[in-house]
Amino acid sequence: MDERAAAIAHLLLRVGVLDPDDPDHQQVRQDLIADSALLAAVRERLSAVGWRLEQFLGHWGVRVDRGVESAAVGLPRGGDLQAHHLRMLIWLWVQLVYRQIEAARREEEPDALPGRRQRALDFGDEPDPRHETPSVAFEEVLAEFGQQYSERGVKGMLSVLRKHRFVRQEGATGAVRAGPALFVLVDPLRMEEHVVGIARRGAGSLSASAQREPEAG
Amino acid sequence: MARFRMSLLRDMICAVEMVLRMEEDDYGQELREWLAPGVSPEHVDGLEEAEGILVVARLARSLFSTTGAATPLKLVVLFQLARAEGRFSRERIRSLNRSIAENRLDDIVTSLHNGGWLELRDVDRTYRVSPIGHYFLSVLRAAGFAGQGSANLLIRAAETVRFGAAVDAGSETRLLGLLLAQTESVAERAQETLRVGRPRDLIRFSREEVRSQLEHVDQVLRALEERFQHTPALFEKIVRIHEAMQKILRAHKGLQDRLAEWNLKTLETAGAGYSLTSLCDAVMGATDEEVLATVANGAVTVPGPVVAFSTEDAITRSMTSRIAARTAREAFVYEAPSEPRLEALRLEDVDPVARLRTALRGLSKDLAPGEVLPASAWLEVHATDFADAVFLLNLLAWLEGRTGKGIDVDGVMLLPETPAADPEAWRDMDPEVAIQALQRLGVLARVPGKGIHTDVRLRRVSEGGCRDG
Repeated sequence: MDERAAAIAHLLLRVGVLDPDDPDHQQVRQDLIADSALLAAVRERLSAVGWRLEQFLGHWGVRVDRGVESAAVGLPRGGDLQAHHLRMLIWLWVQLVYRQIEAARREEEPDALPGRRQRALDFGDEPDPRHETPSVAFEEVLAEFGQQYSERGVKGMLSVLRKHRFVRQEGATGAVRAGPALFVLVDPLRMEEHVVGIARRGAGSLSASAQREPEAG
Repeated sequence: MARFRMSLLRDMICAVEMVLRMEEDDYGQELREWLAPGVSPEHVDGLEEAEGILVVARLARSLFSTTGAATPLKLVVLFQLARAEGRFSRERIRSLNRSIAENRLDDIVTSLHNGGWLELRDVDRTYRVSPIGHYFLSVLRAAGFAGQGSANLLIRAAETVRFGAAVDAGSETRLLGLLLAQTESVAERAQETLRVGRPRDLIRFSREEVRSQLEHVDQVLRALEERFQHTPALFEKIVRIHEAMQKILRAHKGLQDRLAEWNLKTLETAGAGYSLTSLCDAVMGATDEEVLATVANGAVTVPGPVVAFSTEDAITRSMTSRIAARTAREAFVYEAPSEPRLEALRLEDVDPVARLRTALRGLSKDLAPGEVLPASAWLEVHATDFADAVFLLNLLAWLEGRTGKGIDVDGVMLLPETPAADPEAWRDMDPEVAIQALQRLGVLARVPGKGIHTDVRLRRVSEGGCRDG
């Protein structure tokens, strides 16, 4: 088991997050779920070198331990992720991950789109399971960010997020889906607190927001 | 109902005849003044059809000839009177239109009466809307001139085709061209809205009820299609209009899907009381500092290289490096460096005296005692120019000086000598001939680079030293 734990720890340190499309990575995920002793051994090995095993909504990966991160000097702060990348990252997190978190809180199926049952009632169709994974059409991303950036700029920002596995996308104009890093490298509680804080400061009270909605509608 | 319509039509005709009788004389006179000389009204094409519209000329003049504010108020009064039952006294008209100032309302009623919109019954001094006024008002309202926005343009274009085809059979090409341009414009706008439209744009476009407009256009085209099928140019236009309509419908379907999705998102409310749409709007409106703070407060961990050291990693690196080293060693084939060419150092290579002595040794080896080595045998062979020759002569003098008895070459003594000639014997000879004779006799020798000089010969002597000093 030690060898297996060492191999898994090594893999996690090397790749950062487990790729849901890679069968070997998925086998590792199954092993960690099935064997608690193995899981503990992997955790121990990772923590010995300052890393923490994270799993959220079925995605697994490693993050630098908070204590190590705060003590480390010279670690990259942001790297090639600049403000506009982070803005798109947060926007996509709200669209793709926070929706699932809210669905889970409402005790719905975590992978189901919110309102699926209502839509089935309204439109009378059972949605295709392939479309169940939350996604955002590239056109929607472009409509939101296109007023500030060119189409090429939006594609460039998405490619940076793709490189870090925050999003998955088929081609440059395919639908944008959440990548494993969007679950693992984003702290959901802190991010929720941060985003709601921005909304509270910027958007004013809920009543003011509700008053603006009819204008928008 | 039918009786009412017949009565209405009869009243209209009477009113028209009355108006025409009153104005016929003036109209005829004026028309002749406007026409070119010699042209009679019967020969003006389209005049008869145009005169058919003149029945509403007085009504229109009365309605639109006054100030801008009066026209809509006149129409408001007419709408009220046309809608209500019975006849109207001035008091009743005032009670129905309390929002208009009384004196202005009286002016409006008087103007409408004079313009032919209202008929006055003298018996009870009450008014009613005249039949022709009713009809003209209905036409004006049905025309819907207010809806000239992009939403209604399609229906207007379709109606223009319908009415235009009915009135003027030659105008279909032009009218269908207008309808095609309008349809393609809507299709283009629909696709653009779908591509980059934000939710409010989608809603605005959706509200234009493009689908119902397209159905209306389709109905008009179907009604006219059979006639147009016989004209290939027109039929081609109709086909293109249908293609544009299909594009609009496809875009519209996409818009509806997007709107449905957006509605669902708006309905989703987070625990903090904000919808996901509100949160996304907040993120888009946040400052760069607020966005970058997500990294600082640990909400987002930036993926970076692994900086930790693990023993497994070290072992792996060690193993792989050993393998690499072994591979490298096996590949190396040792070859001894090539031996440098080593030769014993000879004194002749560095010492010119030894070099001269060696040369003399070779020359004197077979030399019998008493024989001489002429300068040509040793000097010309080893000296290439005058400097060399002088150098060799100096070396020779130095070798001779070491012993004081001659030059000792491995026990063979060589004695330098300069042969002399009797000057008296050569006094009367030609100098050139004398030099040649002296050279031939060995008195003079050719020194390289310097012409002819006294010969320096080396004579081997027996052991004992210099024979003649």
